[in-house]
Amino acid sequence: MSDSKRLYFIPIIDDALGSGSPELALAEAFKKIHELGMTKEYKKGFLQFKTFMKTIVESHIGDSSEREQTIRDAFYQSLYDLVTDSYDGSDKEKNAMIESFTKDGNWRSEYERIKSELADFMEPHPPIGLEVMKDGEMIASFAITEVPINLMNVEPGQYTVRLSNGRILWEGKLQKKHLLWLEAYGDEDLRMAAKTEEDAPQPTLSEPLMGCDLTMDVVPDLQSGEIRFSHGKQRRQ
Amino acid sequence: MEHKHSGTIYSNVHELETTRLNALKKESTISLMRRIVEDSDTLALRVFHETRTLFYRKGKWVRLAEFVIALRDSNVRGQGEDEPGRIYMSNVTDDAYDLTLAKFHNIPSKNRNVLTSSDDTFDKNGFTFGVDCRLYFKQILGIINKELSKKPTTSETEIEEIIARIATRFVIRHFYLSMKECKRRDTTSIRYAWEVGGRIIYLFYPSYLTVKQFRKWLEDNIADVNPDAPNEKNRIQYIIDQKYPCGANIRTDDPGIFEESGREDEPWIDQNYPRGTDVQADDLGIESKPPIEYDEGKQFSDRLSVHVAKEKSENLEELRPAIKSLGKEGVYNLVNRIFTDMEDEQYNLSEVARNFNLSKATLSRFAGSDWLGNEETGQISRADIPDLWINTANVLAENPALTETLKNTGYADVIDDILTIVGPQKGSQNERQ
Repeated sequence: MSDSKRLYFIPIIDDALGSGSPELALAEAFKKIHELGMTKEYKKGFLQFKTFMKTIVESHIGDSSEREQTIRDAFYQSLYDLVTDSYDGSDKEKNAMIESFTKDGNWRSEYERIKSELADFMEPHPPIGLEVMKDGEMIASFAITEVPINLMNVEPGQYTVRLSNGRILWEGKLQKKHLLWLEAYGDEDLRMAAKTEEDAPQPTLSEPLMGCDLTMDVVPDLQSGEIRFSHGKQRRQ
Repeated sequence: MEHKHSGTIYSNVHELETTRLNALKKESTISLMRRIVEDSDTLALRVFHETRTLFYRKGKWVRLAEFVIALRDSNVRGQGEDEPGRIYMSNVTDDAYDLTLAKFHNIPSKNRNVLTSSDDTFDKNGFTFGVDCRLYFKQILGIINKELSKKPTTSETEIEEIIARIATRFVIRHFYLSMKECKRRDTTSIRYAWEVGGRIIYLFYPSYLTVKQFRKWLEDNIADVNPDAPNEKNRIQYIIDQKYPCGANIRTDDPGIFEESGREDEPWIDQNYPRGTDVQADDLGIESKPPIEYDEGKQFSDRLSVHVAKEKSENLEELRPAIKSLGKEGVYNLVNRIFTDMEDEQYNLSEVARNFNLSKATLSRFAGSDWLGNEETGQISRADIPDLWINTANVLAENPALTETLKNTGYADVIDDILTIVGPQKGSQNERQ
């Protein structure tokens, strides 16, 4: 192995520092050093690079507790990123980072402490659902995966349909004319006829929700109405 | 008549606002966030906080404020708190709670916090002054967009779910960062009760100043103090923080947030003190101490090779005798030759030694390429590194671009080594309590 190859990282760093944007160039330089270091030819040089960088950090810290704290803060930030699943890197990089932290006894304790502190807050949430409120009271809630779904015995009142994250999808007053057949169509026989002819009753109100993700139909009946939720245009007949 | 007219206008405005409020309640969460970021839309911000339950906690969807309260009241601690004093932690978590909320509430306009509840209960230590929620929402939007670009989705419900997941992680992470920031400030700054016009204003100053120095600086530099003015304390603290960015006042937030902040056109920067006061510490008889040495580290005006060559040739007394005997110019040329050869991938130690009439062993000790480590383990230590490369490392250690990049890249290949040098923070009590 040549003398240059064992010290290959120094001219790469030197070049980067001489560029117009040294920080960006250095990030690239570290990548290049790593990639070359993975080859047999530069293996020894890469080992020396790691010792060299460690020496730089030791010199950088020197007797300065401020600098040491800055590095520590950066590590904590990485820990928070890892634990809160906010780490901005590939899965491979993330796993390597976790491995590094858990290899060191002291840092492993910190990693596990933060993880356990947050266990309660990091629990996976259930799928967002739909909630139906009548006059301010919740009368139904269900997962969107349960759609198509029919709410029976719907009586007149002020209604709100919202997602469980609070986003209102529809709100309005449902009146007798929406919910009762006679009020809506005035002819009960027609309804009976429709039933026998397997022809679906026509909704008195039909609202697309969230663009066309869902559709809400209000369908009248004899004593009370129905609210029917269906997916997009695949409206239930 | 005029009264009736203004009443009508008020009524119309109120009606318009109610109509818009109702429309916003139906907007997607991502749309609300965009309005906050792009239009500084305070009504959208209000709808976000009052209606959106993006956070799931103990079987229930809750709003951001409730979630942050739960974090505050939980056993979540900041870094390095083994057995925290109850009172101390309580202060820090309260401050962190204020700061986290501010990160998602504040649109600092005209130097006031939009959603400040009252001086008694909110932001007692002035941590939140100047915090701008638009920067935080912008960052969340960036994460959301990145996620959506990975996996395109057409379902609005799915997008809302992604937002809930990202927002939860983002807020938790920022609660931790707030804890860190508040603790840092709390432990490295000193509270000072400044009596002005018969009133007391509590301010924080860096611990390296004496109380006498700080008082003099205040008297000389803070003019037109009006203790009754709203946010007067925050205004003064802001000036202090600008002047003395010591460890206490370093914002330890996301680099992404800082990059976005501090734009000259931002309205909340006090026009009277856009960059703090101009008075230098020297002018006041205060010992000027570089607060963050690494921020003042040398940038190279030359190439690394030239820098190292100069340093080596100007400090001959520190060199081994055989190298020293080359003289100033000889050492300069030797170092320069080595760097040039390395750049051309032509470094041949034997040849260079011959050219400079040095023994190979002498040059190996000075600028050897093969750092012989422990034969058994293969480990290389600092003691194995030849003088020139130690010197090069020392020079690089003072280069902020290099140390910053190392930090920003997570110390990539060397993290294992650095983790052993810098351990986690040990618990510390606040001496001021």
